[in-house]
Amino acid sequence: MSMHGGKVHIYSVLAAGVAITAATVMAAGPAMASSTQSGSQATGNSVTSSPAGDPDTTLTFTVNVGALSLTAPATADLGSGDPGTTISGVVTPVVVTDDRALLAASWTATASESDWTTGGATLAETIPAADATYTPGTITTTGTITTAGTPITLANAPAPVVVGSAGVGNNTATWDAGIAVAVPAGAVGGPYTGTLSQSVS
Amino acid sequence: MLRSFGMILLALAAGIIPAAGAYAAPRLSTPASAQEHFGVRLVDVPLYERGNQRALRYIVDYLPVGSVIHRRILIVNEQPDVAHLTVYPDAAKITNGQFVGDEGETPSGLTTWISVAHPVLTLAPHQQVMDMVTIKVPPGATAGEQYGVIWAQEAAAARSHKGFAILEVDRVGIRVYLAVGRGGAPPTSFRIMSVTGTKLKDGRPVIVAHVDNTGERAIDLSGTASLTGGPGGASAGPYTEQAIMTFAPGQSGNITFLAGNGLSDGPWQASVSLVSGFTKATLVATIDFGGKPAALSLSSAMYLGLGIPLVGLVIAGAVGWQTFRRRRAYA
Repeated sequence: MSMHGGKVHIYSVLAAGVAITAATVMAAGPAMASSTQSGSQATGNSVTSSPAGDPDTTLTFTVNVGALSLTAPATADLGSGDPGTTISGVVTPVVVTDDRALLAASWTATASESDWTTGGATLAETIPAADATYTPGTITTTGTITTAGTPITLANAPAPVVVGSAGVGNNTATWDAGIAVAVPAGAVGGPYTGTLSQSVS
Repeated sequence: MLRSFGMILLALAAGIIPAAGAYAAPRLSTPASAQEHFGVRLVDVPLYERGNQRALRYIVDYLPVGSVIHRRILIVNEQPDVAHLTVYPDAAKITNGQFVGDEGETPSGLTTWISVAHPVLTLAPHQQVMDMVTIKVPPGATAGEQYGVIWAQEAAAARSHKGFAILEVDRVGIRVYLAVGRGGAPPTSFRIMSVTGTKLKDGRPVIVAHVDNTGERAIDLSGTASLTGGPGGASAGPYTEQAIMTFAPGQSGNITFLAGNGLSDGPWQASVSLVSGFTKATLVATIDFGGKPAALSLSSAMYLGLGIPLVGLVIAGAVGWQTFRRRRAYA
């Protein structure tokens, strides 16, 4: 419960598979008040249907849970190489599992990379994130979901790599993330570590 | 368990072989990486938003100054081992048609309003827990909409290695679209400015709708595109979007629909219907897929929202725009 401009709003619990347990049940009614679809249909201007619903009614739903989750290996070895060459490896598998059972499911997966460092991580012992690229391989899916992958040059700031949209119900997307590092000619030797951050929301 | 495995790796690397009979050394062709696998779900949704698909995925709200809301989120450890997670709010941006959480734990006005009841979690294998997100809008907060994400994060432990190696930090989050103000909620509106046809570099036809966010709240656009009145009266579709596009107030960009291979160039009557939450719009236009394919790859088609002018689009769009102008009748 919370105060919201003087009125008390009771929050429903998200349901995928619903059992109504509270005493008060809201009268059946349309979930959305539909507005007349005139004129604007052909003009491109939007129309907003006002949501119906009584904010003061108590209603509780039992939760049938399912989450949006991400799977990725905790570590990956890319191998070794000489300065001036490109080292390639693969982070595999990367899986987005959307078990939220939504009528309209969508998610965006992003990737970012810290700079690669060795030894004392001084400037000379650092290879910038932008020397590496992330290429999502072929994306295989289950369920109804449209995915689009984009190869990116990695950076400290996250950028989208795979977007899932037009999903209906539970879905998954799996891909291999190809990571390639162009080792600068002036790089110093040693084992380099980079932190790859993959996020999905 | 992971740490002891790592120590075995180090011992072998240093050439120290355990005494025979102490234990059987593990076979180490390729050390298997432990997997990070965890997820989140928004649990509490305001009753009046229950038909709003966006509100089922994200925390979307409009609050007056001084108000407090609580939203439970579910955090699930899907790993066969213990997961050490942190839960925290982060700033986010809407750019190039995508909602992107910032790196690390970037603070913003919004993040200072958000607290998480359990910011550090240790979950047993396959355990799930509820956490509580509290958002307090302070006195003096400026009106307008802000964007953020509540992340659950798992970070891999450092380990010794040769060559180049990656440590993974994974995050799964729930977006926050929070508008501040008093009185009626700020309007959500958008306008489909044009519908045009073009082709990807590989020759596949694509329908492009250019959209302006004309309201005061961000929109997450999805929808369908249908073709009718083609050569010989053919029809095709409906097609769904290649990628959902998010635009903040004042932003504009393209949302694209990949049409079927082998479609005739047209002309076609294209009808594009888009929706964000409870707000919908439709535009019908005459389009043509012919002409020189735009220099697009599939991935750049997704990001036409960059606003890079594409000559092919302008040419193909002229016909659609003419039709649009004749039909339009502003409300």
